[in-house]
Amino acid sequence: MIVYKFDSTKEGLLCCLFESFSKKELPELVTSSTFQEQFEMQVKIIETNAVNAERVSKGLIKYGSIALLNRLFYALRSSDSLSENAVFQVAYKCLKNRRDETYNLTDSDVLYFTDLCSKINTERHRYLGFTRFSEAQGGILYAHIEPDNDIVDLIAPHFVKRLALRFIIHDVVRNKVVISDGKAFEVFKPTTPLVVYLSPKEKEIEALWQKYYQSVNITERKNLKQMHNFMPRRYEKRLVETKNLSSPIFKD
Amino acid sequence: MKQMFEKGENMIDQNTLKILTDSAKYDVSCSSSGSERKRDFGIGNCHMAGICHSFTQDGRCISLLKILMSNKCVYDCLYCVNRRSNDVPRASANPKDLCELIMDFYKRNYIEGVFLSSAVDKSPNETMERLLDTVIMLRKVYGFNGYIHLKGIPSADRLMVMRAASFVDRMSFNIELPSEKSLKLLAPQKSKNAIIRPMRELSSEYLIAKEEKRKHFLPAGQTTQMIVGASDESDGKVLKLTESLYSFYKLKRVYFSSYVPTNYDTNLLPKTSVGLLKEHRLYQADWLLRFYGFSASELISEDEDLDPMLDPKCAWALKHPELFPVEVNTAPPEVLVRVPGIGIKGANKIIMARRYTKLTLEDLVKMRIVTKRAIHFITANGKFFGKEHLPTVRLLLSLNDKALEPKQMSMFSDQETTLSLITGEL
Repeated sequence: MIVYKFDSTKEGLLCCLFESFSKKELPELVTSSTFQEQFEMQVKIIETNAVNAERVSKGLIKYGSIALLNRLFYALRSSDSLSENAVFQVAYKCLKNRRDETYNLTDSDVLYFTDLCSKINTERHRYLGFTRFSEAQGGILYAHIEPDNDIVDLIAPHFVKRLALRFIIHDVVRNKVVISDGKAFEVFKPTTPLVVYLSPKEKEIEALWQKYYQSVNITERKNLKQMHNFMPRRYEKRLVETKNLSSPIFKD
Repeated sequence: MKQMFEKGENMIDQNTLKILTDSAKYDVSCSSSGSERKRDFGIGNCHMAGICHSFTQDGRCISLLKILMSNKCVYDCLYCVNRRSNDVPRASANPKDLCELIMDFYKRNYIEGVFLSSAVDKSPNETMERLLDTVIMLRKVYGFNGYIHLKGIPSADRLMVMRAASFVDRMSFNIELPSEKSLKLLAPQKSKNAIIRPMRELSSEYLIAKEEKRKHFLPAGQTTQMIVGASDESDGKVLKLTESLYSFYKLKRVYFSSYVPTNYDTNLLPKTSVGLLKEHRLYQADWLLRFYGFSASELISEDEDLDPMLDPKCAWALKHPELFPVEVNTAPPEVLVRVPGIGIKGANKIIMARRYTKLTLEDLVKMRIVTKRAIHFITANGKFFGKEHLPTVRLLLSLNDKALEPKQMSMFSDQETTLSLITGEL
């Protein structure tokens, strides 16, 4: 069983494809994370090389399109431990068959890949709604999110366009921060913990919102199953309206 | 507008917010879709597809701050919580406080915008004027470009309605009840004409605005809502009315709201709600009208009710055995979407995948196309796996209808319908 190990960059993944085609071999697993090595595994460390990566990306664009390349990279945002492998397998098929295979939905690798994409997409869209800002002293807006996938820089442009205010969105899972002055945004990894002092008004506004949330519910139509379908419970602890509610009413 | 100049922090208190929300929550629409308003200055913009910001325990989405300016009403409509003769706490908000609240919620990303409505406080014109003041203040003073859905007040002055329409994203006049007769009986102070006239005027102005490329005139169009189950109209009649609202007045959505008894002191209204199945079937049929190319008369005749045991597409397909089965590998998209169990998404998947390979039934299952209902109406690569005996098919379809599962009977409606109801999916 051949395993390719690479450095987790996009170029690295493209170099895995280069290696695979030049050695005429198909690895069964392509990954950048550490894994339990087994006896029958033949692990190859793939060096990242800009020239080879460029050749492969040109090939993918030629047989598919720029959109294909972007779609492949998009799936790398997934937290799924096999996402890199799925992207590799699909890209391999595109190069081998010399066409865009990403819509060939009866293929299991493609299906796995499209599932990853739609999960990322769903989460991105959800966080356009589920991101909650608090106003810090000085007026800057601060939000912390806990996404399954690496989407913080995907939602940032929406808030830049919409708010045109200074804001920070903190992905606490990856310790990745988006900071914006209201016109553009930057992504960085903070080295010290972020400390935010909330404005005195914040508590009052949060209380009003909680009141609204409770009032707008029609109790005769209680349907928690549906609520959790749309808003899975993992989001609750970071939402103003659900974080403080004592749990009994949220139990099914 | 004199409160505007009062000193100090004018914040709406929790109690007022509760009263004004309690009175507004029975309005079904919460969709924030259909508008692409951009931010020129100030804050906010609109997202074409709409965004849900939260979900309440009844499974409905919160996208807009749904609130009344006032719940003090001079009307006495029998089905309404806010009717004059009802003993409920009353409150009203002034435009400035409301604007502050909206801005505070909006910038924290709690909401996508506001659904602003009002009971008829004093007179229709005075009410409409207060709504208009608020809307203009929001847009001009606060620089708010988020979504505004404004409820129109029947019998208000035409010019005020038109002016409001040039500031908001969507407007709606509620039809309230599916026939003039019921309206006379249950809402004696409202007339069909007072409701239909502004809808007609808005729709003709909307067409002119489109021609003249005035993009700020109701970018998300008009919607309406009617209560079902409070009066005795057949589903066929409701659907026919719905269809004509779409075609004549170019409405974007017609919402149905299953009657929930709030007033018990009358014999003219049912004492219990009709259950949500009726509403659910109507929404399914409405979906078929808007996205699947069906006409109301194809689905049901005017004096009939929808079959509660089958979704309207299954019922239609069973009436037309001559059209089935269809071959999934060759059927055009408009035929595929008419197959029970295959929706727009499913049809799209099939069309994409069949470019690569001949699809078999296993392929469909693998692609997660729901085949339970579809197998009786399709062939996959020439093979038929369903049953041919129609009564058997009917029974099987009904057994596979999620809405009929005992646990879900009490539900608002199934996830798909609610999602569509929320997003409006234009």
